[in-house]
Amino acid sequence: MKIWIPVVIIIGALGTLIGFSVYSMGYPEVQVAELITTEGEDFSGRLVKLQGRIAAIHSETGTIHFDVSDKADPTKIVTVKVDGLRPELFKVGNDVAVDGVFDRAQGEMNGTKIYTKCPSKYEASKGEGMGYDGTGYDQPAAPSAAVDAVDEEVGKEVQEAAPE
Amino acid sequence: MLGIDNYLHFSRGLIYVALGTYGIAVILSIWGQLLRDRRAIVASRHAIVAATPLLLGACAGLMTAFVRGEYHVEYVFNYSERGLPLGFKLCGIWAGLNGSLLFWSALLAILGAIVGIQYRKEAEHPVGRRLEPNVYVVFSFIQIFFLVVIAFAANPFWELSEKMGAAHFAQRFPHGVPDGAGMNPQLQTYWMQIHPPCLYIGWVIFTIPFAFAIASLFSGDQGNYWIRKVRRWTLVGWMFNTTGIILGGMWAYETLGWGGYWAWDPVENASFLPWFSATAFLHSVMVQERRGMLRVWNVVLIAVTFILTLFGTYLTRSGIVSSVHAFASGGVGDILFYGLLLPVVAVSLGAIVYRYRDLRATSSIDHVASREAVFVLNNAILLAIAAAILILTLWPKISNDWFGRAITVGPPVYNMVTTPLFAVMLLLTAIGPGLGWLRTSWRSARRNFTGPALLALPSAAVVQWCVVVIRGEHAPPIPMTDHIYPVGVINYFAFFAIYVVSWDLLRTACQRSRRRSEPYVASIVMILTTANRRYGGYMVHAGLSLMAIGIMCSGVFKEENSITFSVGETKQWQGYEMTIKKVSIDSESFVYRQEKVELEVKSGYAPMGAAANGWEDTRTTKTLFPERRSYPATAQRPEPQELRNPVIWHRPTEDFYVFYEQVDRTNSGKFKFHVHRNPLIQVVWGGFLLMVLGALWAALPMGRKRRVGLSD
Repeated sequence: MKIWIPVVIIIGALGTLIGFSVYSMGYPEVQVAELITTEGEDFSGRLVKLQGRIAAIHSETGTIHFDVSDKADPTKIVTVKVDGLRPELFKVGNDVAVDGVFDRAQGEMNGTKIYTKCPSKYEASKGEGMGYDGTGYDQPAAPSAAVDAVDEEVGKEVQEAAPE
Repeated sequence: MLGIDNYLHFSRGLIYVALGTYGIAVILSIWGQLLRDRRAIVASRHAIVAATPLLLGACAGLMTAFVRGEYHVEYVFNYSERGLPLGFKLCGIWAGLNGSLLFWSALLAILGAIVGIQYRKEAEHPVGRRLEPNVYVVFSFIQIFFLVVIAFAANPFWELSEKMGAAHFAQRFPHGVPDGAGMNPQLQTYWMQIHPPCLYIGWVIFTIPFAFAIASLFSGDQGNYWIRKVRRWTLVGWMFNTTGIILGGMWAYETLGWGGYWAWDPVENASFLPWFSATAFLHSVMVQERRGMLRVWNVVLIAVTFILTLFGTYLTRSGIVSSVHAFASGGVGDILFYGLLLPVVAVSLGAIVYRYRDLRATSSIDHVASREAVFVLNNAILLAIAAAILILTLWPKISNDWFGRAITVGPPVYNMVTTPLFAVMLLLTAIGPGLGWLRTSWRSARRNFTGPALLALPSAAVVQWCVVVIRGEHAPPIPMTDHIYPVGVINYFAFFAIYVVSWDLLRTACQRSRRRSEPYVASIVMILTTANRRYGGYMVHAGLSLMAIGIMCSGVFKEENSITFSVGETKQWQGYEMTIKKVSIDSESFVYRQEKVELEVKSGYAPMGAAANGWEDTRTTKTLFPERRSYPATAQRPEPQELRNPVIWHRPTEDFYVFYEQVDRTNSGKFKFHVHRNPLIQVVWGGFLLMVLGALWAALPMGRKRRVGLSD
């Protein structure tokens, strides 16, 4: 019987610790449509994890500036600014998640961290466009013209900067 | 002559033959047990041993397909290409789901063969004889499940034409398949060659203790026989699991560029969960051996460890939570859940409940100041950490299903929850070895703990002072509260644990040296050798404690910053001076284009007027080459890919870590780097090495032999 006393204490302490930590530091995952709508719960001014798809990349150096569209309704778009590293696989058409705070007055989200699709996953996901995806080969991923343009531009700069 | 196509068909056929062989093994085992026919059980053993070369042959066939570039095989097409070096081509076998399942099954087959061969030597032991057919049944059923999945749901030998349909294939590849889609550039590192196999081996080994545990429940032999059979298996599995986890951290540190090694990613967490239950078992097994207690608990721990390995595999494949490792949601996840995970949980639970009365302990804890009491508490803490990590990992899913909104929990939540638990675990790591079985007298406790407890205090303070000195006067200050908790507390407990085991070794050696009049060093060597299990375990304790010190210091005292500058320009940051010497572009590789920056880094700043006065520059200098590789799109890989690897200057006291971000287009011609200083990170890797060496030392078959007696 005595063994149950420490067990109950440990479970109680653990539950309290988890509950307190999640309550104080957890944040909700929201879709683009939920974030920008004025109906229902207002996520403006709160830390959220925005889920969506990269619709356009305006700038990816210094401050990364890009549009994220809703996965279900691509017409719903929010602009995101993130001051930080451009992650791998940050390309138009790829799924993305961004931690940050939405400013309704500015109509922009100030992001702190970007998550893109896995670079090291063990299985290609459907529609990723890399290899056979189980749905046929004639479905390449979304064109990444913007990225190609950036690459070309970066290449030029490097060549200019490099002393011969 | 056997053509390559026929050879691949033959290799594929071996999977079906192996499946049939394990089926026969199950039938023979059950037959032998029901009819008490020993010949049938021996035949079952032979079947299990014979199935091993079949699965190794299938693996060899898949490897041959990778080496020869048989891109008409779907799996080879997806994970290889012509330009890939041979070493990475061979890694293709575990780069994807289908191949990794075959690899898993082949490893399991080898372990089954080892168990079978071991049984040949121990066939006369009465308990062993009763257990043997049940072990084969449990083992073979698990193997059959994997082989059914491989054969019918995730076959690595499937042809592209088979998957796409002949017409579609002919339209898409009218002249055959010229090349594969290639392995993801980030996987093309030597870590890919060692991390996944280590983790797989660790997880696969946990199947054997599970088979023995369930077999002992089936046969009704709850003595210590099965415990002694599985202890070494679990230890070796634990060693590989630990190695796999840390190598994964090293991989992340050296290639991902964010300067850390653990991100509390769901799949990382999944690899960590069985570690806790296996660690708990390795402690509680001693309590059963010594005191005959915790017999139900030990079976539960072995079952939980195996279930958690399956859960980790399920988490990777199911897509129930977002992870950097697992974004895909494949059907195999469901098959794994309903076909193996749930049945294993049900069978384990049913067998434990059925035998509960027979498993009751023969003694109880006499005193709270005893080793068995601390082991019980340590088990509770280890499982509490595992439970906390599991709950937090699944929290987005739980919150979404229960509260209608997915709540994300990041590393701060994990750190906040687990740090106090890890602190208690470290304290118990220190206290356990200093306590005796049954009861520890106050005098004995004072003798074992006073010195280490007193020594640990200045040691922890000195380490923190050293880190402050390493960071330098320009570094941003760390709040005093952080110095006390978590850093101070964890470092104190870690040093306490190290000194307790060191003190034990030195004192025992001293006693032996006096008693036998032999040199002191010889006594230490003899003690380490004759009591290798005990002192191997103590080495693991010391290694874990060192890792804790390294994790605290490198985690709390790290610094990072983004720095932008152009070719020829020099920038200073936190005691380092960096100059971009040149940037070169190499397009010679036909696989990728490489943009390489030559970055000269000097430790310390030059004194004022040094250059003007012609003073000799005696600062330590290192040239680093951060680079960016661009992999162009190909017909098989429609999207171009980019790879930027960090470069690290490993110094004795810290790592200087540079990640090439990009060319800054807002300041034309400028390059942007993210730089980190990670103090005492070498202590983390050193502690890991000591842990693995300790586990290896403890697992070696030397020291005092305790034969399994008939009374077991």
